[in-house]
Amino acid sequence: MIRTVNVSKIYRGGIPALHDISIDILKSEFVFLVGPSGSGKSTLIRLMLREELPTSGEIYVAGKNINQLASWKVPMLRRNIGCVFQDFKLLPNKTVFENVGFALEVIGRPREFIAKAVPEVLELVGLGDKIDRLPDQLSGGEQQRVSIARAFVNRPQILLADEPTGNLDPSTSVDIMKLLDRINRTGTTVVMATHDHAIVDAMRRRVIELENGTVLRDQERGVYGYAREE
Amino acid sequence: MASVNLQYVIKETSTNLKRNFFITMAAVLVVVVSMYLVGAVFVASFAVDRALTLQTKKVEVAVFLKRDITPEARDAIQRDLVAMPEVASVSYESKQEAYETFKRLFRDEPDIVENTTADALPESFRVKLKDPNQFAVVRDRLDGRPGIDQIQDERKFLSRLLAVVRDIRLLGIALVFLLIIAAAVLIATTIRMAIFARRREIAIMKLVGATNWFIRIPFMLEGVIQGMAGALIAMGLLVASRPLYTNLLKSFKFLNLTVTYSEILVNSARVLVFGILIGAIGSLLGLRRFLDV
Repeated sequence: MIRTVNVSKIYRGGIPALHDISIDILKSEFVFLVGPSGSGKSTLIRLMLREELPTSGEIYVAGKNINQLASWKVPMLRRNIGCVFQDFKLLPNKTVFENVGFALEVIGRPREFIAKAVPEVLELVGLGDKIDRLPDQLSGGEQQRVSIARAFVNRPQILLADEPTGNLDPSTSVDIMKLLDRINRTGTTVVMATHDHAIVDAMRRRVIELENGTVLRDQERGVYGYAREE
Repeated sequence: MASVNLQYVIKETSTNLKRNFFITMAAVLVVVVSMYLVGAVFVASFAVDRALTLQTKKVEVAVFLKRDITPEARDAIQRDLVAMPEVASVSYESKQEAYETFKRLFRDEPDIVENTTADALPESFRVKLKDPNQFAVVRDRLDGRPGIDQIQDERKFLSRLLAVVRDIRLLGIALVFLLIIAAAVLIATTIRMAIFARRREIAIMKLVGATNWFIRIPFMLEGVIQGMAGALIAMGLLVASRPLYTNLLKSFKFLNLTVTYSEILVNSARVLVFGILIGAIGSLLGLRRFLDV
C-alpha cells in the first residue's frame, strides 16, 4: 500500500532528515513509527502526503509513484489518505457536524451525501450525541475523535496519524487507540507516528523505529524500547 | 454538486469581503480613481477622434492674395484654380468676409478685434480639394505666381493638434498605468489578508484533498468583485460628471468635443473589463505564494 525505496530527504540549508529509507507497508496493516523527536517520523508522513518531495528515492502509494504525480493530481491522492494530528486541526467556529462536513464539502460532495455520511461516521466514533457542539465544548479526547471522524468520513484506504495521543491523558489515549484499531479492522491501512511507549507495547503491532533519519528496526508485533535495552 | 459549490463560493467570498471591510474599501476606491481616469481617457479619445475626423473633412487650402493684386490677376487665378482637376470647389473670401470670421473667432477678446480693421486682413481663395493629400500638386502649380502672398494647408494645424493630443494621451496612459498597478497591489493585499484569516481552513482543505482551484476561486472572486465594483462606481461618476466636462470644453467649442451621456456610458463600458482584469490579476498576485501545493 505504501512503499518507499531508498528515500532520503535533506531540507533546505543541508539539514538531513531521512537517509535511505526503504519500507513496505502492506494493505490493512497497522504500523507504528517510533523514535525520538527529530528522528524523521513526521518527515516521512509529510512525504507520504506529498507535502514534501524526497531529495532522492521513490515513494509509492497505492501502486502509484507519487513523486511523479502531477501537482493537480495531488488532491486526488489526498482524498485517499485520512490524516490525524496531535493538535486536532479543528475549526473552532464550526460545529462537530460542520467540521466533518467541511472535509466533504470542499471536495465537492453533494449535500445529501454529507447529511447522511457525517452522522454515520460520528456515530462510529462515539459522538452521535454531540453533533452540534463546538470544539471548545468538547474534551481533548472527543476533539480527537472528531478529527478521526473527519479523516475517515471519506473512507480512505490509508489513515496517517501523527502523534494522535500526544495531547491526551493515558486512559483517553487508550480509547483513541481502540478507535484506530477498529478503523484498521475495516481494512484501512493505519500508519501512526508516536513516542508513547505504553500504547506501542500494549498493541503489539508492527513497529518501525527511526533514529537520526534511518530505520533502526522494523519488527512485526514489536514493542517500543526493544532496541534500546534501557 | 454544482449548486453546493456555488453556494460554498458565495458564502466564502462574502465572509471574506465583510471581514476585511476597510482594506476592501481602500482597494475599491483606488480602483474607482484609476478606472475613472482610464474611462476619461477613453471618452476623451472618442471625442477628439470624432472631432478630428470631422475637421479633416472640412480642411481647405487657403490661397492668400497680395494686397496690391489687380482684379484681373485675381480672376485669372480663380479661373486656373477651378480648371485644376484636383480641385473640388473654390470660394472667394473678401477682406470684409475675413474680418467677419476674425470677429467671430476672437469674440472673447474685444481688444484684438478693435485694433484690427478689415483692410488689414488679406483676401483669399478657399480651395477644397478632392483629395486633401494633393495639396503639394496645387501648391507647386501656383508657386511663384504674381499676386499670391501665401498658400496654406490647414491640415498642418491639424497635424500639430494631433501630435499634442497624442502626447497628452501617452502621458495619461502612463499615469493610469501606475494607478492600475497600485490598485492591483492593493487588491493583492486584501487577498493576502483574507488568506491569512483563513489559513487554518486552507490547511485543512489541502489536507483533505480540495483542489487548488476550489480553494482559489472564492479569493479570486473576491478580487474580481472589488475590481468590478470599482469600475462600476467609476462609470457612474464619469457619466455624472458630464456637466463638468461640458463646462471645461467651452473654450474649445470650434472643435466640437462635447459628448452625450450615452456616449460616455458606451465608451467607458470598457473600464468594466479593465476592472475585472485588475481584480483577477490582483488576486492571482495575492495567491501567488499559494500556487504550489
